[in-house]
Formats: sequence, structure tokens, C-alpha cells
Amino acid sequence: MDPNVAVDAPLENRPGVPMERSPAAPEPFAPREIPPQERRVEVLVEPEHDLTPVFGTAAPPHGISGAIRRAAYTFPDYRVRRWLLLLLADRLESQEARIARVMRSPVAWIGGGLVLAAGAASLFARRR
Amino acid sequence: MLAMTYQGKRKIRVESKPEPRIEHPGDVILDVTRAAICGSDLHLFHALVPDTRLGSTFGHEFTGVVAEVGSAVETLRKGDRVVVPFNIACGACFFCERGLFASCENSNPCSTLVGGCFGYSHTTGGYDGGQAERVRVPYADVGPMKIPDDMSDEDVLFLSDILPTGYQAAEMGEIKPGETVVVFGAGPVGLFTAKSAWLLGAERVIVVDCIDYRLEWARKFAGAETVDFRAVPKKDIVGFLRKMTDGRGADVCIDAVGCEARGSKLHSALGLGLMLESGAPTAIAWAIDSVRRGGNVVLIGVYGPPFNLIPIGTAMNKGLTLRMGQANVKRYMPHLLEHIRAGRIDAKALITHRFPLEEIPDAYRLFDDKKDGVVKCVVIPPGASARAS
Ligand SMILES: NC(=O)c1ccc[n+]([C@@H]2O[C@H](COP(=O)([O-])OP(=O)(O)OC[C@H]3O[C@@H](n4cnc5c(N)ncnc54)[C@H](O)[C@@H]3O)[C@@H](O)[C@H]2O)c1
Ligand SMILES: [Zn+2]
Ligand SMILES: [Zn+2]
Repeated sequence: MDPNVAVDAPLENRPGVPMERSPAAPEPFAPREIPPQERRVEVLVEPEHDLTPVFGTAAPPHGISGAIRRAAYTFPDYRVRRWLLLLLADRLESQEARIARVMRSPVAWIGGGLVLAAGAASLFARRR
Repeated sequence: MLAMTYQGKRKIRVESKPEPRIEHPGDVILDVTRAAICGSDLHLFHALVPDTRLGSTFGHEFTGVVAEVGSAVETLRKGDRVVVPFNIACGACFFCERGLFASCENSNPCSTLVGGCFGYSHTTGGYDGGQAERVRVPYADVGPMKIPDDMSDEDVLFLSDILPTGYQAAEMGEIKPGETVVVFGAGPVGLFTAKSAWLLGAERVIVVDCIDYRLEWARKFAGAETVDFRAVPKKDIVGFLRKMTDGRGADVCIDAVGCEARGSKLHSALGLGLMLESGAPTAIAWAIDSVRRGGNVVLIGVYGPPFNLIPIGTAMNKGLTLRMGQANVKRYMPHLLEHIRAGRIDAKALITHRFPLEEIPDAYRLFDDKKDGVVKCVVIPPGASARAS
């Protein structure tokens, strides 16, 4: 058995007891007034709430998935449809990326060109 | 800089990405020295968390060296070594004043569920995480803890999340002397939960999982009794646990598994296959069913919105207390640092694998597959100081 059994058995040794620190007090070096972060990218915000003074700037919404995310954020987070729309947007964004990848690849263009050329050639051949 | 980026379900890549910059006067930028992969990252990897966008960088467990300092930062200087809690917290709002740092109101504009977290989808604020060469750390006077000179980055890395999380799980169980605690899940979080249960005075600690080598870790590292839920007669894990605990059930049951739980065909089909619930709440159901009447059930395993099918009527009739939450990491750091220093918890021992950042896709696959005896994977960015280990 562990030799340190019960060192934190006394409640006063437990950092999270009681659950809510009392009396409530700010952290020693916490900013008292928080200036707002400059908004350089599109940030979707919980409806009826202000943008928080600090926020993440990763992966702003884009494309069709982005439009669905914007729609999702018109519903508060206690509505199921918010989350279903976001899950849909997540799936769609993967498909968008797949299509974009295919469009970027020279193999796809050459392959597509060959298919078209073959189709045209066979049409032409049949006519004759 | 190099960073891990998400490319869709089960797809990640290492890419070159623009360097993060100071976005707010309270920010610092860190050169990451160590970043761990967490069971929580697997929920993102499996596309179970809504609003996980392509191109975002995961990683909420990291240490680093301060490289740039925002104009309002008072306590940190360039060159300081720090370990950073996964919660992004302002330190002074309604919730932070009460010590509920996971619930900070000033760090997540995207939902009212939870405060900001590093690298954990837009549902927690849309921040890029630390599985990268560099990372932006907001509210730098509040979260980061300086690493003592006599300790390495790896010694304290797990103060960023899993050690406080495991400890808080056990603490929320309100363990009293003589009590029996069942921990579901022998991953890194479950192991620290079991270890903490002893410190809090449990008389018996039983860990449930289905992976042999992890159950061995539970016996050796955490000194717990173990049960392989796949090996119990008639697959009746609840009946088996009740028999082990005087027929009444354990005093405290803790879910350290989360939404990818195995063991129930129904929940796997509904939650992981059809997505009709937010992942599989199998461990929640087992915890509620195998705790004694009037007992405490703790959920530290992560579930996403909107809902799961759990036996709440059973919980109601049994008169259970349910406690749960994202860990309020900051609150536990100094206390658990002392436990590490005193040798009561060898946190670093859980690191079984180290990968260069460039190979992080392999690390995710290994950790996801639970292969090669993996407990915890740590990635090391190129140029991170050797001193960190
Ligand atoms: N609340 C928080 O603040 C917080 C912080 C960190 C991690 N977590 C969560 O804790 C959970 C565990 O994290 P981890 O890093 O240890 O993950 P992990 O994936 O390494 O471990 C999970 C373990 O659970 C086992 N398991 C699967 N189904 C089970 C079942 N039905 N019963 C018992 N065991 C089962 C798996 O075999 C595995 O060993 C995750 O959900 C993670 O998101 C929460
Ligand atoms: Zn984590
Ligand atoms: Zn706050």
C-alpha cells in the first residue's frame, strides 16, 4: 500500500474544499481592468453576449461550412440545433477540404482532361 | 513555425504555420519545450467535439520558455520557464474569484458552458494549442507557474492538466476514511485519480479497464485492485463490482473514461456510430449503477454537448450526489507541486513515449490504438532545450 495514505484526509489539506473559495477574491496579479483584444479575424460569439476581452484567433469560419457555423451561432448554446449545425459544419468542412485538394492537384486536372478527351474521341469515333 | 494541425476525423498533419503574436497586452508567447497528448485530444481527433475546425492546432498540456512579453505583464520575463494550466482564466471574474478557473467568463466568447482552453475547439474559445513550436498564452500573470530551478520541465509537465484533474476527481468524491473508491479508466487520468484517492484517505481503491498493461499500471503505479471488465462473468461488471463491495456497492465511483468508452454495444452504436448522443456514456452508467445508495459519483471524463442517455432516474432514486467538471487546474498546482517534490507522486513516470514534434501523427495513432504499452506521449519541438527532460 502507498506509504502516503491519507496525508490529505484532513479537509483543510484539500485545495478544492469548499468548492467555491470563500471569501471570493481575485488572484494577486489578475488584471483589474481588461482592455479589449483587437478583433483581427472573424469571431463567432454566443448570441446575447458581448465579445469577451480576450479570445482565440484560430481558424476563422470560411466557405459553406463557415456560413453554417454563422447560422449555428444565431442560436444560444442551450438549443440543440446550435450543436447539430456545428457538427454538420464540421463534416462539411472536411468535404470542402477534400474537394479543394482534388481541384489543386495536377493529377486531377490531367486525369479529368484525359477523361474528357477520351469521351470526345469516342463520340467522334462513333459519328464516323 | 512547425505546428500540428487538424485535418478532419483521424487526420492530423505537421505544417508550417504563421508564428503566434501578442494579441493582447496580457499575453506572452512561449517557445514550447514539451507538449503532451491527452485523452481529451482523442475526442477532438475523433471529431466528437462540435466546432473543431480544420487547420487548428491542439495541445493543452505544455511547458515552455517565455519568448515575448505583452506590455501589461508584470510577473514574467523573457527566459522564464513555465508550466501552463489548460484553462485560460482572467483571475478576477465572478467565477475566478471563487476559484472556479475552468468557468472563467472572460476567455471564451463562443459558449456559456465553459471558459477558454488551449487547443480545444471553438467551443472552448478557438485558441491554438501548444503542440507546436510556439504558443500564445493569454492572461500570463494568472495561469502560468514558474518552474522551480531544481526541477525539470518534465517533472512538472502534468501539473498542466492530468495530475490536478485526477486529484480533483478524487477530491470531488468527498472520500471519507474507510471508504471504497472505484475508478473507471486506467489511462493517465484514472491512474492519477487512483493515486490521489489514497492520499485522501480511501481504504480500498479498485480500477476498472480492459487493457492488461494499463491494469498492471494501476496495480504497480497506483497500488489499486483491478478488474478487467471484459473478463467478468456474463459481462456483468455492475454485479461483479457490487459483489466485491459487500453487495451494496462502492462509496464513490469515478468516471475517468469519457465519451469514447467501450463496453456497451448500444452506446457505441448510438453515440459513436450514429451520433445520436454525444459519444458513449457507458462509464457514467456503470458508475451510477455500481455505487451504493447515497453514494457519490464523479465525472471527470469529458463529454460534449448536447446530451447523452444516462440512467438519471436510478441516480435520483438511489439518492446519489453527482459532481463533475473541467478541472480548475490553477487551484491545485502549488499543492501538487509539493507532492511531486516530496516524492509522493512521481508524475513524470507516466511518460512512456517521446516523439519529435515532426512525428506527432504517429504519436496520435499510437496513443489512440493503445499500442506498445503507451500511457502518455510527449512531443518535443525541434530546438527545445535538452534541460527539459
Ligand atoms: N475534466 C477534465 O478537466 C479532464 C482533463 C483531462 C482529461 N479528461 C478526460 O479524462 C478522460 C481520460 O483521459 P486519459 O488521458 O486518461 O485517456 P485515455 O484514453 O488514455 O484512457 C481512457 C481509458 O479508459 C478505458 N476504458 C474505455 N472504456 C472503458 C469503460 N467502459 N470502463 C472502464 N475503462 C474504460 C480505456 O481502455 C483507456 O485505458 C478523457 O475523457 C479525457 O477527456 C478530463
Ligand atoms: Zn488534457
Ligand atoms: Zn475569469
